[in-house]
Amino acid sequence: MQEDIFISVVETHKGILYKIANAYCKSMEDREDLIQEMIFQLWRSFENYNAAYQYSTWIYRIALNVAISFYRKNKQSSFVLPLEEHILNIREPEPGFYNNDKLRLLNTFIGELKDLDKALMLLYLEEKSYKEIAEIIGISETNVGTKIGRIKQLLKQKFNANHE
Amino acid sequence: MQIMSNNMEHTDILELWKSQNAKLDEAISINKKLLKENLAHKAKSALAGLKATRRVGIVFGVLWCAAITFILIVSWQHTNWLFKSAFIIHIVVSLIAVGLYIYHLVLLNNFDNSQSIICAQRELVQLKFSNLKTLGILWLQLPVFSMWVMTDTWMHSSPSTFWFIQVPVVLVEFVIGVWLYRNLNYRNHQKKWFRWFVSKGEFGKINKANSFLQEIEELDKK
Repeated sequence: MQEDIFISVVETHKGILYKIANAYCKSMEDREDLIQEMIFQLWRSFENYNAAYQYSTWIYRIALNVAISFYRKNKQSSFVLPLEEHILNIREPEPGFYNNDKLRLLNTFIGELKDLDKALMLLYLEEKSYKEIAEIIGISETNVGTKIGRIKQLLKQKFNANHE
Repeated sequence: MQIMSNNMEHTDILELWKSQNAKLDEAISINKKLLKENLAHKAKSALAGLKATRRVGIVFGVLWCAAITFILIVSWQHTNWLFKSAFIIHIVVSLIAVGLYIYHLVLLNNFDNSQSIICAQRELVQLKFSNLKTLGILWLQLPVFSMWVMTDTWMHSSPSTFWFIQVPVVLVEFVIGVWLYRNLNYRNHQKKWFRWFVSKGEFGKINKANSFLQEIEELDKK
């Protein structure tokens, strides 16, 4: 019963796990290990889940904590899609989707950010409120605003430099 | 869909992300069979590995200290003060290391990764640096391993090798031990010698912990 509820929560929020793993791991193997570790830690914490928080907030906290402390075994080129069956399997939604240069660049730029900045940017892109981001990260809303402003500026500069 | 012009604006970045989100949810599927297997504890947890090494360390450390204490007591009447001092130092240092391992285990058992990222990561960084401190403490006992072979018989039968080789060796080991105790610190992680004393994996973890600590400290300054 508990297991079924958990699987349904993971099913609903599977995108969060995939995007975090994609941002924090360069190699496919590491990404798969990280997803396994995130799911395992979520399962371990599930019985202590505090209903005062949304499932997504709870998942972000745990998944980001696991991702930040996850030690990468190797460093390979980024944005390689898994080919075999894994816990999370991804197929190409439409031809050429992953060859979208700007999407690939955005994922690469996010992957290049520092760990904490990466977490902030992922939460910002998911359109979480500053209040919620502050709760997940554990910093003030003002700090969230300042940091996100700088990261957005940095991403914009990187994109524009890439087009020059 | 034309998402943006060549000059990216903040809103374009958000739109680009949303375009990915919309398609990702459809594209990702969960392998429920594999997931259930993971839930049945097949997944190897990083923290579980840390806990296991601490438990093994504590059990081995306690057994080792008990054995060494037994040898010390049994041989008390027949050994010189150097042997006794070496054993006592070794037992004390080993017990401190066991105590630190128990402290690590308590930290790991109380660790809650659903707390805020800054709080959780601070605790993990503290744990990694404490691990480094334990390594430094263990190096303090380096001269002990040369001390317990020093006997009165040796001192009297071959004073030149005793005083001009063995004693300087112990002194050099003492200096090295104290120096490592003081310097095996995350602040020195960039130095070449540091890499010799920690494993490649441990070095990577310390590096990562250090860079995250710097990120947190930068935030605190603002």
